[in-house]
Amino acid sequence: MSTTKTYWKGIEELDKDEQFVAASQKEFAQEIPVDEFLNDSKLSEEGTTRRDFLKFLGFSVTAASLAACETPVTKTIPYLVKPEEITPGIANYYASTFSDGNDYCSILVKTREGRPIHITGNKLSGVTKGGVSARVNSSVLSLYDSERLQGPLSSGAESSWDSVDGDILKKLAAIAAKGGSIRILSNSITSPSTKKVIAGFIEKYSEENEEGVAGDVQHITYDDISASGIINANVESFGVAGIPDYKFDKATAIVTIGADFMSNWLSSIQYNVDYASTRNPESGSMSSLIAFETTLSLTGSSADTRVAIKESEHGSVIVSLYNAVAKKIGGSTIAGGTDQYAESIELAAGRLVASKGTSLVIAGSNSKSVQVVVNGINELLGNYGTTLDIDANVTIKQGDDTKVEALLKEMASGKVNALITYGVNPVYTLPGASDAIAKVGLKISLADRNDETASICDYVCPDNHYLESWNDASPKKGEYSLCQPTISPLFKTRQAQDSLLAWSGNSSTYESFLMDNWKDSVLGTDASMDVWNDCLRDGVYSTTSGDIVDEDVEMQEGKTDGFSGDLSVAAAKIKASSTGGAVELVMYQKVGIGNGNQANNPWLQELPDPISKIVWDNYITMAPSDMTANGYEQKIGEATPADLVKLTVGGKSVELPVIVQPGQKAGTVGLALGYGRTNAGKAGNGVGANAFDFTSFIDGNITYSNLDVTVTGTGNKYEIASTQTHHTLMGRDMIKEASLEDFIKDNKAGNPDIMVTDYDGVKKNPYKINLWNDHDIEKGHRWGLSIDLSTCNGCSACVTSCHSENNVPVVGKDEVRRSRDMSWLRIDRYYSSDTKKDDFEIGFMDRAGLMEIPSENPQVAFQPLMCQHCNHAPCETVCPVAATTHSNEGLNQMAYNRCVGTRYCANNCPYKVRRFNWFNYNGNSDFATNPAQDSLARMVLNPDVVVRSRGVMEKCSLCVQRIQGGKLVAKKAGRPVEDGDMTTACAEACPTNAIQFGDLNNNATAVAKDASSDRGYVLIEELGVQPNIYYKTKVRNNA
Amino acid sequence: MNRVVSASFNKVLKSILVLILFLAFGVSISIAQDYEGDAENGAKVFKGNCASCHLPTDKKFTGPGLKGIEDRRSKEWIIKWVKNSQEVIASGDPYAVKLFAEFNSSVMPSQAVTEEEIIDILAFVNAYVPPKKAIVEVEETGASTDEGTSTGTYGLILLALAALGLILYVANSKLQRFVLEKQGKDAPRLASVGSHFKDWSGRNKRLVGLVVVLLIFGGLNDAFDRMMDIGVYTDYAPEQPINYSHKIHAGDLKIECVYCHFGAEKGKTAGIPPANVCMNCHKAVSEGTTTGTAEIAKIYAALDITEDPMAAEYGENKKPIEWVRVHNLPDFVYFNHSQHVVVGQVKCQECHGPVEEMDVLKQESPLTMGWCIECHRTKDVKMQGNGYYEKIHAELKEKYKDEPGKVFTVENIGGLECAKCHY
Repeated sequence: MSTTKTYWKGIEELDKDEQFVAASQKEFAQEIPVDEFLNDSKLSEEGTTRRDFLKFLGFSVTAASLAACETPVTKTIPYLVKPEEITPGIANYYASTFSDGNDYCSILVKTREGRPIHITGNKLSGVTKGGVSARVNSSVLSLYDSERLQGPLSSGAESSWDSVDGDILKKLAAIAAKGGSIRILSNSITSPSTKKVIAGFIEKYSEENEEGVAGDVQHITYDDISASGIINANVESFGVAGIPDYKFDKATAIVTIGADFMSNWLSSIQYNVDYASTRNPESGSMSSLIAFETTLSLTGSSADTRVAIKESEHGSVIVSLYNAVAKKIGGSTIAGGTDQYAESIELAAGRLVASKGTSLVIAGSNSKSVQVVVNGINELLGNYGTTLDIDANVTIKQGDDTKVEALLKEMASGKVNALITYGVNPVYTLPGASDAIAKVGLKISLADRNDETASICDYVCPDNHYLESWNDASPKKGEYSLCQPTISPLFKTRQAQDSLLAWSGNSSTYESFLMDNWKDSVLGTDASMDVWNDCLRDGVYSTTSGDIVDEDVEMQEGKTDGFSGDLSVAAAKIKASSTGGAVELVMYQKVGIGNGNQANNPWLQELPDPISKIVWDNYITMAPSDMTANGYEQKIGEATPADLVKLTVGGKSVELPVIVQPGQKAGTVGLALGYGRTNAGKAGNGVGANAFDFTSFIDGNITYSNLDVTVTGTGNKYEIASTQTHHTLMGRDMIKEASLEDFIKDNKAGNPDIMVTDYDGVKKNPYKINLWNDHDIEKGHRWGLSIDLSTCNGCSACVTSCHSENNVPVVGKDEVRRSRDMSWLRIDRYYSSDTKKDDFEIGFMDRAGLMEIPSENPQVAFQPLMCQHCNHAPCETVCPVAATTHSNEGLNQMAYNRCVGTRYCANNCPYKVRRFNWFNYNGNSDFATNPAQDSLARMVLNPDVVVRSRGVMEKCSLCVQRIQGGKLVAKKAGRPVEDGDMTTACAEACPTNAIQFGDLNNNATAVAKDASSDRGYVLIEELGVQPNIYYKTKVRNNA
Repeated sequence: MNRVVSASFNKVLKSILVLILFLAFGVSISIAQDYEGDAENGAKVFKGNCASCHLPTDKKFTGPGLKGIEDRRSKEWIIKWVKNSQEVIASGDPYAVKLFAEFNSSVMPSQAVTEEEIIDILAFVNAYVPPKKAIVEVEETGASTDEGTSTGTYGLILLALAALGLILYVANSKLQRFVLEKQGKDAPRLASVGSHFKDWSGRNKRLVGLVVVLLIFGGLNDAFDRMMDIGVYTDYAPEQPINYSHKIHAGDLKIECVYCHFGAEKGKTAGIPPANVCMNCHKAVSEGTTTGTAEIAKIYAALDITEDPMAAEYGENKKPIEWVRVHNLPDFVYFNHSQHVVVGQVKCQECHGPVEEMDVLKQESPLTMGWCIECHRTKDVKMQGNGYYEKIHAELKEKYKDEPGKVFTVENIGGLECAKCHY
């Protein structure tokens, strides 16, 4: 298949833009401005004469030699009393839990000398099963955020805990004594113990006093990314107020309508891991995935079939799908639906019915009506009980938006006397909250920084970072996990639960409260110190008895027998809201920034969006045809900025750059949430605009779209930093793919043997033709990776994991714009289409919605690319100082202290994976967002890896520090290295196990098997550079 | 000094006396009964055998304090106990059973001491007077470095040679004039030294040229050597905040290096021992012979110990000890102690020199890359019995089959590659 396909990274490449073609010839996009510098008039005025130069030279040589004569005195300060578990130089790992109301993940925290430095997934977890996401593994840097509050604030001024507690207790008591209302507004709390703390707080202030007066205390859950529509639909359909447990590992046919379950939707880490386990072509069958969506998401990119639909059509497509399924199964149809996409809907219905009982339909919409119909389809297909478990008490999202809307009204009318916000930032995420909260008498924020909400509060009682905290979580029935402190609190902050306990008059610490709660409610008859210690070590505890914590029992009341949703009412409502204007706006989350709570994390800001490849910005995505119609600039590069457009929604408008997004449905625009923070900190403030302003309550649920907006040009330009066309591979055949059908017939489908012609005219395998003497690669170890393109979905967890492990600097937007990004590991995103654009222009296509022109709905493939560790590395032969050499274990080594910065190696690298340190990112004040510059954030650096300086080349080392570490463990134990003894940061982070690390010379390893499998290939094999990184053909299930 | 001499003299005298008595009577007599005991010898035996568990005061340690032991127990009982405590306990002696229980049933091992020595110990305990509490004083003792010496000596020799040359030159001139005068020739006026040298060098052009060339090359060579020494701190022996002597601890007391530098077997750094490791011994040993008492007190000060060090209760105002690092590697080098100590079985002294002979620790090796490489080129890898190397060893034997009996060095397994140490 790869022979008939055209792959392209951006519109620039597809159109063979002149500037792009010229730029792609150069490894370093920018010339060094030598002439400019030498012709600078200032330079000749103040010029240094030859004599002066010699004087300076002489002086500096003398100064250097004099300075070198003194022995520098280095102090070494050992522990006075060494903690028993710490041995300097050896990492400790602690199991913990990440749960911020948007993502849940059971994690392992690597600490060195008491400092958390790296986060990976916990393989013992029955929920996330070792998966992790970019947001989760980057959160270690948020711990060292110097914008965090260092102590409590009272009316914006620094205060002490005693005085703040005194004031708050007094005021809360006064409010309760008058029968006033106190509201706790929090995100979805997955922690049963925290829920108990809140219940204690509610109890304390709703107790009647001697005069028979009691406070009105309520806890309201508010999810800034809400799933309230699903919860409400489940109440109507089954009488269960909760989210079902979606079991992607059991699903054989999946249809998603706007739910990006691989990167953002609900418990996406769990789904990502589970889904990937069904995508193994070697097993002979793969699950199939059909995605209907508006803007191109990760899920849509990985879907076997993707259909671009308008935001206003989501409901009607689902109704049509219901009817199509009902027709096939023999159920009654409902009114409504759409005439469009009939072919795709038919295809989807066919696959669903064929996998009846093991199929799954999901929708991203937050509308109750839409979700009722989705429930109806799953009920028709008999999926409840197999791929959906409605009784699982999933806690990832619990918010009921009607209550939030009611609270807003209540606050606006001045009826709320006290508001405590925990884990939410409503002033930023909820339109209208700012004015409403201002009317509350006593405002307390438990935020970790003086964020948008905290800054209008009377008291800010900063919560610890989760890595400094005790906590627990129960993501679903029977699954528990613990969160333990891995470092003492850096500042005078206090855990939110401890604050609430203090205000409830409970003198115990949250740690002991938590332990007691586990003894009573979780471990039950199991309870013992040994079991508790085991749980703490493992981080997780599973129980089949499925004891339900009391709060959750309430959810079970009113449960109905079977499906009781009213489909016709739902269909009617869908029909009423299915008309859109000329332009529809859809808001989505990005893989890095998400809901914006970690907006001040420079790793996440500099993480290229896997689809658009843009960093440090928020922008409007538009379909290529709309871009053309409006005449907006589509080819964004260093010299061609994007057009700035004005987006008007209702009365509000913002100016944002517009970029072309292949796959975006024409007539719609996309905008990411989580940007436009004003009080996040120096990295996050002022990046992009806040899309939460355009969300609104529709039918009681927060809606992340607007069906009638206007986009007008401003005539202004805006510079955007995109890595899209950086390090491009100039049309070489990088992606190999096959359909499952072809693959089953021939395992080498899409991966034909490469033959090149030698000087005698004989066709040979490139491995047989050598210009150089062979390295002795068959002896000892030969480390390598295998990367399965079938399961890689571009989630980018590997990229941030690599940043964290290898001290990769953050260089900022301006440098990225100049193609000077420093990532050792990039994910190339290729669009592909079956036929060249030219053919389309001559021919005629009438299949609506699909393939009008290739860029309207392309197929997408992701390819992680790091140093390929070639056995005949072209970089090694051109280094004049032998700074990059080959190891006998197959590694392409880079000795920074030997490098003189000629950059010949980067010029000679066919994979363009070498990165040059143009500046001293660790000292130059222009790069203040680089963590290595902040005395606090510097603590996140890995002490086993050098922080590189200006003027040296760097690149992926295949985590040589881990290889050496793993070998040492084996040597000390006197045994051979076993597969899995050590792994690279990228392989360790990969939630879908697409990346595997191991010894290619050991036939028992997964890598060796992958390398020799029929799907295995190396990139640009015909060059004969013999990489040690293997890729596996992408297999799509188009059957 | 005097006391030591007299003590050993006393001991010799006593031994002779005993020998004479023994020979004179020709019978074995139990001297234990009325042997007086020698406190000096007792102190020595106590230090060697008892001090790790007992104190000569009334304070408890691992075992009870020995002060007043003779008031509590009879000599016979004590001798029996020391020789085999378990037997005494087994015999059901109520005091012994109680004592055993009181000290957490820790068995006192049977001691290889004679009965006389036990009585010597008792004499030492009876005579023991605890020394007065030392006043902590941080002495400003600079580590004396005699760098000037060698240059001074060379200078003196050069000066002497120059003076000798001058004398010879003057004598030569005088003699020449004298000879000329004798011959009745007109003695020419003594030419200036300069013109004389000019004349001489004019006659010996080759020699002068050679000297000049030698001087230039010598100068360059010297300059190069000096440049290469920049950043190399062999013999660096800075003054430390505590005048800790490796000679006493590792040399005299024979404490294993890794007892304190436990990291050497586990991780990349050998580590400076934390103060709580010092306290393992120094909670009992708080005195030294010369400056030790004051130096040990610095540990207590750092840990803020105000009460009895035996309790090892640390105060709130702990102050870290800021040692001066002697062995520095640049940041871009990764060196792992455990790799060398455990896997490579390299003795600490091979790199750090005879530390057990150093009062003030100094850097023995240059710690340059050339020095590392030199060892990696010559050192054989300890492959025997290490499962990790089995396959590699077989492959290497195959590779070097033309050189039977070849010893595989670190170089042969890639030990000279950049990324083994630089990443």
